[in-house]
Amino acid sequence: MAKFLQILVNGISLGSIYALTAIGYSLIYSILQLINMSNAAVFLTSAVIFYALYSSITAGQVALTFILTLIAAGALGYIIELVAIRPIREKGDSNTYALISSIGVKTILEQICQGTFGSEIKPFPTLLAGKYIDLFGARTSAIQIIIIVVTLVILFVMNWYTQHNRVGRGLRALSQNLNACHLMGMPVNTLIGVSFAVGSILAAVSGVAYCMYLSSISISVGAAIGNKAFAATVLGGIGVLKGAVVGGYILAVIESFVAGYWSMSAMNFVSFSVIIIVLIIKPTGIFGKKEQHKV
Amino acid sequence: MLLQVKDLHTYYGNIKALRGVSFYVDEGEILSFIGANGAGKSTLMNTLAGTLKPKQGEIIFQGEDITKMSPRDRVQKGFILCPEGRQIFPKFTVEENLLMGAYTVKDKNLIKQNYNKVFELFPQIKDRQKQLAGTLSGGEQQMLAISRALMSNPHILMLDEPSLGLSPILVEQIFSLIEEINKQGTTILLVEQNAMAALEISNRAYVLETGEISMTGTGKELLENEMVIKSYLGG
Repeated sequence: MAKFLQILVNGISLGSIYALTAIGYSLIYSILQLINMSNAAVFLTSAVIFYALYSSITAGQVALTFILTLIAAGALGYIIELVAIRPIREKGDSNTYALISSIGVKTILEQICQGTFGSEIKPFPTLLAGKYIDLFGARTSAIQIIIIVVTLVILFVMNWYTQHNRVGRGLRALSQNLNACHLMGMPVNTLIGVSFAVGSILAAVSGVAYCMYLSSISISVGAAIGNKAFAATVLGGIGVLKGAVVGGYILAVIESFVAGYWSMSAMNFVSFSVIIIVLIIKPTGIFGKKEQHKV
Repeated sequence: MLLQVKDLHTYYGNIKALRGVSFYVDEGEILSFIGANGAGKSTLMNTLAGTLKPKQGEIIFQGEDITKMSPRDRVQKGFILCPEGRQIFPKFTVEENLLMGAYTVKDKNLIKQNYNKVFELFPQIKDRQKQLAGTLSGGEQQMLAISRALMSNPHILMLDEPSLGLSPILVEQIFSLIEEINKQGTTILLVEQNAMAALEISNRAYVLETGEISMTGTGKELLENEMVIKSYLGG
């Protein structure tokens, strides 16, 4: 029982990390039908920014470093849209070009991180290191519980904002009918920029949380989690925000149980097999609906 | 003169959809454009709203050149399009749709005032405030689309095919409501395939044919014009 619970908590905390990054993919897809590949690089870049700040100007202050990192990530997301996506969008060119542009941004960011950070594994600050919480006999590290709680709070706040806040509601409107948003005089470009900023901030939370969980950082964390988060997005149904969250948790819990009861090396094999099977049975993912083409 | 359009040329993809359209709109009138499918009516509306950019020509609203302005700036100046096919937000409630229409309005009291005003005009949708817009009937969706546009407090309301897909009774109802909106002080620019319904309520009208204006007159004159009767009124 204790082992089962421990594995479950592992799955849920890892799922939180997948879910946060997955929301970014899904949010932008829901608005632009674009797979924004730069999301995974923002995950990495944010963790590197946190590391750089923490080891220099804001040494020792986790909360302050975290807030500064989130601000930087938000700005980065907005700038990515402004510089690499908006010009293509406004010319009315195909999304394929925007996709390639986002891959370009991803590669550039990864190169910058590699150039400034280096390629070795370095220790990453964590919270309540060595502290464990006894959960019905299961020994779970405090950072895992923090990650789960923080993620739930973020999901709750996001849900509230998209229901009750003007800008949040505006983002939901964009995903329903972009043309009507233009016609209603909504600041469509700014809102799309905001959606990139929101996605990036969530990826930043995810990136910092993951490195805190590992207590280490290396240049490869972005690609590893980015792929999983994207797979989770597709599993849940791309373009549906709750799908990204559910997909993230399902994928991570499956992985965690495979790793716990079978073997670490079977983890990716099983999780991606599950995704392929789901996609064969229901190509739109768990929550996705068939695209209805507007006449 | 509230709005003046001079020599408008717009391409839709590679097709030249407008070939030098010039007209004007006076304060307080109902002006309509009639024409067959593909005559360029929707292209004209979208060029006026700013979602299509003209290759050539000028759009002057209240003495100001708005040809290069964004749709948002035009809405803020009181110039709004209720698009063809309604384009409401299906996953939003009626209330949320109306709030999106008021996105450019800062004054909360004005939003409240307009909110009550549209329900006076369209009591049917008042009972459905909390219902998802996608579940409304076609007629109700059209009412919602017009209401949403009115929430922006427009000076000119442009309507693109408001009769599309509606039963004759509903068409009559919608058109008498358009007259009512006009009486309350909003200038109307209407585009319609249903020439009869449009001409009956219009002060003036233009006939659009393959991107050019081929005829103009008062609503009454065009209703009695032989060419119009033959081509557009099924006579």
